[in-house]
Amino acid sequence: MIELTGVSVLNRISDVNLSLKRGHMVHILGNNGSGKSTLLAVMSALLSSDSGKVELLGKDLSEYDLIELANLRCFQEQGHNQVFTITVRETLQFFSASAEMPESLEQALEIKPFMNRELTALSGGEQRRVHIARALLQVWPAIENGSALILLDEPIQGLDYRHQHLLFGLLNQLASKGNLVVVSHHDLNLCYQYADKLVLLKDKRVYAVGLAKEIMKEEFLEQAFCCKISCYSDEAGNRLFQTYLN
Amino acid sequence: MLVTLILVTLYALFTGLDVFTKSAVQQKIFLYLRLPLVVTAAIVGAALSVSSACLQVLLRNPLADPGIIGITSGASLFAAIFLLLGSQVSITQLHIWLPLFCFSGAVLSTFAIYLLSRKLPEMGNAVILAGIAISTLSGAIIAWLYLFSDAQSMRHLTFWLMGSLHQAGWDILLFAVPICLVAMIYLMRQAKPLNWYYFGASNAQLAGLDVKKFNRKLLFACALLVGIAVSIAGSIAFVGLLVPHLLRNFFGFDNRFILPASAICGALLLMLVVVVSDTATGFNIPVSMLTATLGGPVFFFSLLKLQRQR
Repeated sequence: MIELTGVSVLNRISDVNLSLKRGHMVHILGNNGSGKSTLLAVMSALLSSDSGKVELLGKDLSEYDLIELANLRCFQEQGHNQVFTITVRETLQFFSASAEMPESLEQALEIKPFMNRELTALSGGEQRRVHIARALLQVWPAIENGSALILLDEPIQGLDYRHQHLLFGLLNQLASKGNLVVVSHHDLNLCYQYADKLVLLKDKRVYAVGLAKEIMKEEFLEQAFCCKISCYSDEAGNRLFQTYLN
Repeated sequence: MLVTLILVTLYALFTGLDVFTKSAVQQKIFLYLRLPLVVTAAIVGAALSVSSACLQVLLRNPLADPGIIGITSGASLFAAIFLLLGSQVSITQLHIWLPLFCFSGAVLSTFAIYLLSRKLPEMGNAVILAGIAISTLSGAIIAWLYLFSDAQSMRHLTFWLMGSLHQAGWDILLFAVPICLVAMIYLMRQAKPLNWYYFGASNAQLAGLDVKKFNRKLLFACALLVGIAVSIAGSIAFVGLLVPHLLRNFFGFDNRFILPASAICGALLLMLVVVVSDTATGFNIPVSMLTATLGGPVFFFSLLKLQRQR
């Protein structure tokens, strides 16, 4: 669905080659400053690359009309600095074509209880849930067709365990409909549980790409994260990761 | 409801005048004094309120107002330069050149503020600070100009700087009203992308907006409105801050409602000011005095509210 060839952004990512297909849930992991956000911003067309080529559905990203792109891909950025006291309901209405909140979205994000409150009065995690909903609502018709590109930068930051699982459950469901979901975060266990594909970044380059369950090996991860990582398996074959300093 | 309010104000303006009698004097007073006054009040009130409502979103600062962020003083500075240095021009030429000078002043200061606020994106109040800098500088240059000007132009300028709705005649209004209406309608048609802009430029771009083009066009339209408002009525304080701010407090943030409502309420507010200052008290109170008396406390209130949110 999206293909990056030799993509570089000065001092942020260099020579990234990636080919991501529809129907996958892709997780991007890597240390701070390894280029996760930049990679997502380039894929969203918010940031243009200095060199290389980004193609979405076979067409160069820069050739897309902004409106056409807005109906096709969504991107939830990491930080939000809100200065206006807008309510949650208005926030969602401004970005959504329909007035109703889709059932599956509400089940995962549980926004209705604070629908009439001001966005700035909510807790960090609640605000994040609203911003995720806002991003997804922007492309909801495409999501239902299974043709959307969903880019979320650290969506689980500030979310409680329950909502982390609810969100990733929903995203898996959306990916299985044919959408391409790309998320960045810092949780190896959630990655192992939910990712189809893993992109490991290190020093602004792609360190490894592949099926999450294949490349999530102790030594490999330790090199990528510069940190000690132990992996425990249970009888069912599930793996549990623990991280610590040397 | 708002339409009724306008009608009430218009009715209020007919008080004390019996236009429908055959008295030629009364009819002339109505046609050449009262009607231009009402039209000036309405168009200036609407122009200031709509442009502020847009600027507040564009500059992402709920306290933005052409007066506070320095656009008015930029326009005033250019008006002062014109009035003090170009005082040889005839009255007819004055009506053409003064708005043009005001407009260029408004455009220049708008873009100065825009550039400054982009250079300092981390500071929420950068726009306000940039505006204070521009206002102070303009004030200083105007003071210098005073030193070197003759008594006649000095009087002219002082009167003009205080803000007055009585200055404009039909010749200037016929030129100003259509431009203001077009600019306001243009801004109202941008209400939907402006709603995205509440969440910052990048979210607006992600939602399908060409942000750079949009910024340029809207700032130009806002500067046009402020420039014209200042050129026909001098500097009028706080209307722009007050109207959209109160409307958003009561009716929410949707610009599809806020922009037209700002136009109506801004026009209404200045017409009420006219009614109070002309009919109720029996003597002419400077407009800025009344709007500032009203706007001052509201400004305090909004500052305190902003503080509480943090």
